[in-house]
Amino acid sequence: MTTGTGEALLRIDRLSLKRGRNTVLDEVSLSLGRGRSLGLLGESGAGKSTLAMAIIGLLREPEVGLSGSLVFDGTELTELSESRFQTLRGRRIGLIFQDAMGSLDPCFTVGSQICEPLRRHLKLDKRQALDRAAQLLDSVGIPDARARLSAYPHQLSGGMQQRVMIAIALACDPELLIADEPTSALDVTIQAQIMTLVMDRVRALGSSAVFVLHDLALAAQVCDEVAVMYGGQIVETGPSALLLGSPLHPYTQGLRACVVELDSHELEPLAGNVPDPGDMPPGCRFATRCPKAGPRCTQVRPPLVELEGRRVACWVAQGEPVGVAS
Amino acid sequence: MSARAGQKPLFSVLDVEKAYEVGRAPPARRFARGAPRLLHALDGVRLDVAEGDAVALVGESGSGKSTLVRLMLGLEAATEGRLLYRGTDLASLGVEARKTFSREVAYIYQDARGSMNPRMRIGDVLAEPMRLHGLCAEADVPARVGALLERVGLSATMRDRFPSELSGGQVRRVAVARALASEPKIVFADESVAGLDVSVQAQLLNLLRSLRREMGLTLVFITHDLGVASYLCDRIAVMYLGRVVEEGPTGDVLTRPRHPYSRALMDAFPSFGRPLGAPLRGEIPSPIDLPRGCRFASRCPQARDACRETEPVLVADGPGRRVACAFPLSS
Amino acid sequence: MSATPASRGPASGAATRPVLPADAEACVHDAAALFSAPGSAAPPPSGALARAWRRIRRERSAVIGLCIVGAFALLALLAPLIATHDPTEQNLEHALMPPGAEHWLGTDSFGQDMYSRLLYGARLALGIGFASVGLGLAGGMVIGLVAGLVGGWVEWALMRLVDAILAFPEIILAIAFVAVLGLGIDKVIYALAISFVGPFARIVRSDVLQVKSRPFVEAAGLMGVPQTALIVRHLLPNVMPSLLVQAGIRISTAILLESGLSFFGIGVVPPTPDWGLMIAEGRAFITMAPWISGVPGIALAVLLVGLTLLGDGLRDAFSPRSEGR
Repeated sequence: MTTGTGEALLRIDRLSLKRGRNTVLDEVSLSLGRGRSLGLLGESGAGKSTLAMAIIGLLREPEVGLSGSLVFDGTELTELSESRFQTLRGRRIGLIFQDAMGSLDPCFTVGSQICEPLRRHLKLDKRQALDRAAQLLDSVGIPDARARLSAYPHQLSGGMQQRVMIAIALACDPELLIADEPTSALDVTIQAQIMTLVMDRVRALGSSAVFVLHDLALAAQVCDEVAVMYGGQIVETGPSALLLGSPLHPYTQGLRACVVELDSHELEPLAGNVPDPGDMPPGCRFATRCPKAGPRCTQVRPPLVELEGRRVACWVAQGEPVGVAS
Repeated sequence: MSARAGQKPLFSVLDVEKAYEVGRAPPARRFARGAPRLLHALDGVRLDVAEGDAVALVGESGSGKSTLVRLMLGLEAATEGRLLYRGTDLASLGVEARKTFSREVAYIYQDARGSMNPRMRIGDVLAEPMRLHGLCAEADVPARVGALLERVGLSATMRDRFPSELSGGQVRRVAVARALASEPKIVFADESVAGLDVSVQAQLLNLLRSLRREMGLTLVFITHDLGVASYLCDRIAVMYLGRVVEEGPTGDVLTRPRHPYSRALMDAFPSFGRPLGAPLRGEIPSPIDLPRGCRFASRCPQARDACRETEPVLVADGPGRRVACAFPLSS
Repeated sequence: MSATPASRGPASGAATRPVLPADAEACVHDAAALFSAPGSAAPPPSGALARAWRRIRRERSAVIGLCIVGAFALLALLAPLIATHDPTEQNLEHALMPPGAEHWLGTDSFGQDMYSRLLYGARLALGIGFASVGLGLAGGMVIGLVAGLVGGWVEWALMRLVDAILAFPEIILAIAFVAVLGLGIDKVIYALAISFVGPFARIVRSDVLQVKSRPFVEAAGLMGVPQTALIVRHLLPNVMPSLLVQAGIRISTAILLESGLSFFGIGVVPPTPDWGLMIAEGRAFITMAPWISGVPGIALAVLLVGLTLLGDGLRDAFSPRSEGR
């Protein structure tokens, strides 16, 4: 639908998050236009879930140290009070988590859980809410929607539960949907169903979406843009087809080379491991594992610069001399 | 089937069924017990594994792939049908034969960490099968353990650590090492690379592939990931609701699937350069009350009336291929 | 249903059934490091012991408990060296003397030195406590192991027997067994031990059932490990740690029971320096010479508090929970 025109819906500017002594997010800068979908990619510990949690305000002072700016449709979220945030969550920002079974309250029926945001945010009365809930269940492909309103979560299959989560997330027609690994726990054919459904609904509403994913191929299929994270930093971000088709950052290249495809001849895995958050090297965080790291890489942190249609944080990509593989 | 002419297959699964009782239906008469409700985890599987094969068992929840492997390992008994190892029925293995079986057949659990005694050091975990089967003199054990650890890409100093001190990827490697410790003929692995970061997964896959090449191992690999299946295995058996629906050389089956379910799996699998395909409709049916006729008919995009009447049989379909479909897809 | 992929995390492993948090394994391991279980292979490495110690250090109650119990244990051990008099030596001329230069904590009605009796009493209390719990643990382990491993009607029968024992309050059982066996230190130990067999049997059986179904036991069986090795090498070392923590908690019960029996005159025989006995002997002189009952009474109370704190603290220290950093 609408491409990112004018003011971005979500603008993150040099957002940093510290937990104790560890810098979990390090000057992350991103923007997301209206109607666009963004995939956050990276391995465990990269900070993608943390970033998602920070956007929806589940990580706040004083448990963590936040600095930088996080603007949603003109509102600065880092300074928002919890009560103001609650009016945003569920109403203008929808959330889907990986573990549907754990996110749905086993003591309440599916219908009452869908009605909760409807009655709270849209101030619908009981009957209106139930009608809308039935509509929502139907729109996410649950057969016999009206009858299902009185079902409990454990009576539904994994795929069905995830659909209910999607219904709840989209109940109030949010402008932004945040989904953290929404289909990792599902069988692959069900995953295809669910992702197709989510994208259809999101596009129909003209909403934006942020997906936290580990599956690069899925991100390529589903997201307009992707941002690759490593060690709490964005190392490369841009249009997904372009970035994943011809990645510039050595980490992205490494990740891409690791993905098992049907015609993979030989996988070339990345050497080494992600360093501990308390143990990050100076300069480029990936330098210790990078096959192309040069002298500058280990000393100075590369800034995110515009290059070949995307933004990348890499000295080598910018033309610095390639070093010997360490 | 890929058994070379004249050579007996290592493993033969003959029309194996496995049903679990999951409660009873309401009784017809008062004071009577209702008929038992059965969960058909496996409903007639016929499969051969020849020496040197690498077979991928692919399927989604309820396909029965894990159950099949458990039966092949002898952890549970089949309700119907027979399982043969080197021609002998598993159920009637003598004590000596049983010992040989434990040595020649290794299993890498899905829960790698849980499959190791948390109170045993890695060195002892690896030494246990060596000592058990008397593969070498006691004095040689430490050297062999060190060599094994290095073969799987870990440092020999890990022998003094406990499983709880290792990361997910490391503990999987130890599980691989332990499987190799008894110098097995065939290794079964259950989702050994699932849930890992891609780079760790890639390392492990390369390791498994090179080990297989070097040692000529027979491999039976359970996975839901088609990419992993094609990378590691030269044969693939696609399972759905307790049956093999298609079988053949991996590349062949995945590029020219004949069964609609195999095609659906292929389409659903995320891949670069291809948009999200039109997905399969419907939920995976419950293995408790299986429908009549073809069990895939409820979701099959090209199901016809005939499909709901008679259950298709797994038949030969070209060299080395078998498919269970009344109207297989044309290439 | 087949597998669901794992959670993303550095120490995760894929699982089909809910697994204990990764921390739980570490907890069991740390606990095990502290108590080197019988039948285990090499002694735990210093690394693991240090980790166990760190856990304990973090629990304030465990540390306080450890200090108190440690102090008493030290006194008990050194009793022969630091006692000023023979604890059973009567000296009627010096009877009922208040604490002073010669008798640091006074004397009782027989002229026996309270301080020395206190020290030897500590020896007795801790000795009987550990012995009876140790015996009860051994007996309970045998029953629990057989029940858990054999199953079937054997398990049923054994557990009903245990239920029967557990139906009686421990003190009643102890009294009954003393009535049968007679008085004296060793008889008291046996009586207490028998009444402890019940709870331990139950704990061992449920632990055995739980550990039996864990993947590594099945994996070992698949490898061809023979039954006895399975039990000794795989089952026992994983059952022992939580069991030993339970045993530690029971020691305070044992000491209290034993003192109670002696107080009522159906435990150890005088003139054995037993705190319960001493409290009873001091009853008649409560107003005149309160130290006769007071000294052992306070000592008993403090030791029990220390044991309880230590037991609770150890249990908390080794319970699985995320260690926030």
